[in-house]
Amino acid sequence: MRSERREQISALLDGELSEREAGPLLIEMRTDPELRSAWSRYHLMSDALCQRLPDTACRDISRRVSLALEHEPTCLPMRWRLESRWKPAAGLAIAAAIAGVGFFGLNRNQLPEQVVPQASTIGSAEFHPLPIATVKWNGQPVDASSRLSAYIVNHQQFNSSPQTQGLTPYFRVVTHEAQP
Amino acid sequence: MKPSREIGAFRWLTPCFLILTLSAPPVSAADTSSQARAILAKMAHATRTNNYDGTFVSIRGADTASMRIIHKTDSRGEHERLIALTGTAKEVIRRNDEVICIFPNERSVMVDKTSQQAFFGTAWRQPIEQVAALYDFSVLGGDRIAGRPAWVLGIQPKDADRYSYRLWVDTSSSLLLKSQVLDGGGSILEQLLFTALETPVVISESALQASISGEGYTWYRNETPPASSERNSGWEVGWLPRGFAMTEQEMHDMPKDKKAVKHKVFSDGLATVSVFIEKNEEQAVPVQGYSAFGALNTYSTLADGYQITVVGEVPAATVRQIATSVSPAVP
Repeated sequence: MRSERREQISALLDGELSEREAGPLLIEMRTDPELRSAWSRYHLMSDALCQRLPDTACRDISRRVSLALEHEPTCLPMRWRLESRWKPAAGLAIAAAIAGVGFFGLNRNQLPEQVVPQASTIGSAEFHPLPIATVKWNGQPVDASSRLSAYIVNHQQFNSSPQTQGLTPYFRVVTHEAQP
Repeated sequence: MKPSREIGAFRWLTPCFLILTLSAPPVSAADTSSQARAILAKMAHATRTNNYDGTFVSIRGADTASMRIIHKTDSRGEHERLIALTGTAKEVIRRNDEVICIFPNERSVMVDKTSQQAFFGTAWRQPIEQVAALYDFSVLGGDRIAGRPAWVLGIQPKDADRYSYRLWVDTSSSLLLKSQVLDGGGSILEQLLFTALETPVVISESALQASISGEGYTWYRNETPPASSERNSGWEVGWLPRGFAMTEQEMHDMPKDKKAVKHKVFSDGLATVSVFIEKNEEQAVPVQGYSAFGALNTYSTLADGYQITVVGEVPAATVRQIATSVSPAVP
């Protein structure tokens, strides 16, 4: 393949080839598999450079370009098709980003129930945030909530977080008021 | 995202930082990791060995509370008193490993023995290189808290299984002046802020005495026998975030009903996760699902007729993943 043809294909891909030159080139591409192959390669290179390729990068791009050429008088719609494959993906990314905003905007206690499916659904008590000050020593019968509070207090003494390195871990026991 | 946030914080702090650099050695912005870790080690040490008397505010969502802490270390060891300044006048008195919690509303006093280790630098028990493999440490700049110049330190996890921290450490006393726990989106889950802090040479014994005598109160003593390995065997935690290892395991007796609970503690050096395993009585309503208290998340589930509860200062998804991985050990 002549280098002049390669340049023309590259220009066509960039939309910089004049109509006068594009017509004969497209006619030639209909019959010349080497030209068609170059056309698909250039597209692949362009998409790779612009990081538009999926992980499963168009392995059969050559065949699909051929098919497209059979049905299309010009190759430009083909390029649009390649791009159009990415529209839904981009849409999903935006949706995910918006969902992400919603994710962090939600009450943290509701959030995981909505985002992560429960492992099992055994008849159980729905848990709401408990004030830590309803500790195990409040003289109430041991029910589920006080059991959880006891767990939390027991956990605190092993807390090694940077903030408890700078302050006794028992501050949590004292700082928060019991709420009904 | 991370660099821009750090740069943003740095820019905001620049005026204070410039003032600080006049009195403190300059810190290269390129690699402040070792400086940050050195400041943290000094902080952990100062917290246990210095005398101090301060007032701080704890902020968790819309929940705020204020308390005073008085801490003294002498030849007899550590003596500490915490007093709630808002709401009920709860107090915690600690003398080395003995902890006394006073709850005036319930007219009850709880006496407990704590693991001494819990108060002596658990965070630095693991080699710092090991912690540095999981978190990025940095000095973000300088600030002023409670009228004192402070270093601002950032601790950023390298994965989404844990939270990040920001700490403000007094440049002169190395004591903690402010702290924040942040989630992966940069939202502050929990904050502590000192509004006043003194470091007196002498602290009187009377300042460390409880204001309530405890007379007429119901006293509870937790005298849990030491754990035996046989009672703790039989359960496996199938999944833990990278770098987490078991640091403790023991049996507790639940208050009142004295039911035995297996308690396994895991830590990555900074974040701590507890796994509780308890036989679920047939008539008891099992605890199920999530709850959260600031940066503390819990997730409970049932496995093989046992109540599994995971409690930790890690994201909700992490406690859930750990809880659902707990299963009876294959003999």
